[in-house]
Amino acid sequence: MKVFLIVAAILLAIGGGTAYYMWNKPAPKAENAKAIVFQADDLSKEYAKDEKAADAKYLNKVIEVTGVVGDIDKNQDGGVMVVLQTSDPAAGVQCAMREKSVVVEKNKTVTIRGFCSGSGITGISLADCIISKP
Amino acid sequence: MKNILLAGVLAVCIAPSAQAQKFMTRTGKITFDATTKTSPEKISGKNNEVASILDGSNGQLVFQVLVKNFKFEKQLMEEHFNENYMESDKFPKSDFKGNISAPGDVNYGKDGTYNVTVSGKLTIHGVTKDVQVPGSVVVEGSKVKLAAKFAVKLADYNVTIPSLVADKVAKECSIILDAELMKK
Repeated sequence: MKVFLIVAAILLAIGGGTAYYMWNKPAPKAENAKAIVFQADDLSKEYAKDEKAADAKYLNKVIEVTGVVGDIDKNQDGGVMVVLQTSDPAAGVQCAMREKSVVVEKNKTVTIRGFCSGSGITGISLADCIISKP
Repeated sequence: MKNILLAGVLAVCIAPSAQAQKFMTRTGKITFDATTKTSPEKISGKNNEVASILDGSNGQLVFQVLVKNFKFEKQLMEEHFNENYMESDKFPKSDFKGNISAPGDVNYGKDGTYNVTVSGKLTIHGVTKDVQVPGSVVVEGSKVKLAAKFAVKLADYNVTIPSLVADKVAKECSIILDAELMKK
């Protein structure tokens, strides 16, 4: 009986601990995963060639992309979006930065790492990004 | 002859201004809420990377969101949203394509506030439906602010809620749209 109670208590603790961990699970971070490395223009070209195939390969994957900063936008919550230029002016690589305090300069080359969310009418989107090489 | 020339010059001068009424943003915002009285906590997500293009010459409007850009306070909720409800690997985008109409014409070249009706096709989870929602347009210099609030029935877009949590997720979720488009 005593053994049964101990086993039940251990199982309950493991179950409760797992549930607690799952509920408060942290968001994955771009720096903790191996990145697929690209020049901004190459990523743009790959999406332009076959969006479905590119989605199958890159959606939710960590991408590290190097390019020239074409635009810096602020979203409505104060978040920063850095747009890297590509040869297609309508399809930059849009990097939504994780930190609001991030500093980048227009026309400078940077390397940014983030999670690929796909491609839309204004470009290819990376989320939760960090500057990997300023 | 002189008149024809003058008309020609005028046409050349006026045409670009009529064509140049394009506005766009990459950082519009959509917030959705599917909380019910019996939800254990707030079921709400937001997307700050909503893309939109408006053609002021004819009122044509496009909104597009990448589903994976919706962010939640709880990572687990974000995963469930993507994997179980929206199936964002299969349907990575949601969009709206339609028109803005107002009782009087909206003058995108002059500051003003207009109550408008937006009608067109809304695609969510691979399902396209005709929708018509009220909204507002505020023209402020080279900016156009668009705002709308409407409800979406999840079942209309084949978004199924598992029976285990059926009473904890609203069957109809509210959507708030807020975007500031800049002249291109």
